[in-house]
Amino acid sequence: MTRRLRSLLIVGAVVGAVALLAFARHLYVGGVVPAGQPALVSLRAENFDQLRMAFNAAAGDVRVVVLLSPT
Amino acid sequence: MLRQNPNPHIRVFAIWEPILPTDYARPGTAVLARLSDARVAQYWDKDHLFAGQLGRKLESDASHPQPKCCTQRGIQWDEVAVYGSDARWDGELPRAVFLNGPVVRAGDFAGAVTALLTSTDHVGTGARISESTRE
Repeated sequence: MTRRLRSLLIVGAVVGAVALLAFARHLYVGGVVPAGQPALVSLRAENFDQLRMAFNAAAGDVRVVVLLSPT
Repeated sequence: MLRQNPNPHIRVFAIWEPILPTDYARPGTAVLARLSDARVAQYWDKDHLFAGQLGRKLESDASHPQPKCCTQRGIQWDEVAVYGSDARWDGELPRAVFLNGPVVRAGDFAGAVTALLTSTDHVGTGARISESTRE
């Protein structure tokens, strides 16, 4: 294996690892909400009550619930 | 709607759910930035828990406003629901004052919001936005 090929393989491996990490972060961490908003909450059966409590905590205000698909 | 109405007595709960094949992950920063207003709280509902509650409410309450669309494989999505200031969510979802979709064509929900703000004497308080109302 030539030195040039070995360098290319190393660079390719590093780029691939970075891409994999970025993809994993995208999958499991998600994005950052705009300033002033509470952090994004991933709803599960165990914490679904958080949404209900936030809804009720805003009683007195008009509440709008929007159901959206990310893409 | 939020851009046109600075009233602090509006709260938006944006619930992102996987519907399309490309919705394989939580929404990214660019997607979340589409709703940049501080009156918004954003959620990722991978298991369609809210949509399930809404679907059950629609089935059990015949007088609930019915959306003109939008279900995908039986899942409610791409809809806007508006709840009055006295609505309380206990065992089941309260009745929405307005429910329709798709979101981009449900412009009349802004009228429902304004009507509710008027009826609760919250109109004209936009200049008095305070941090305490955003807790």
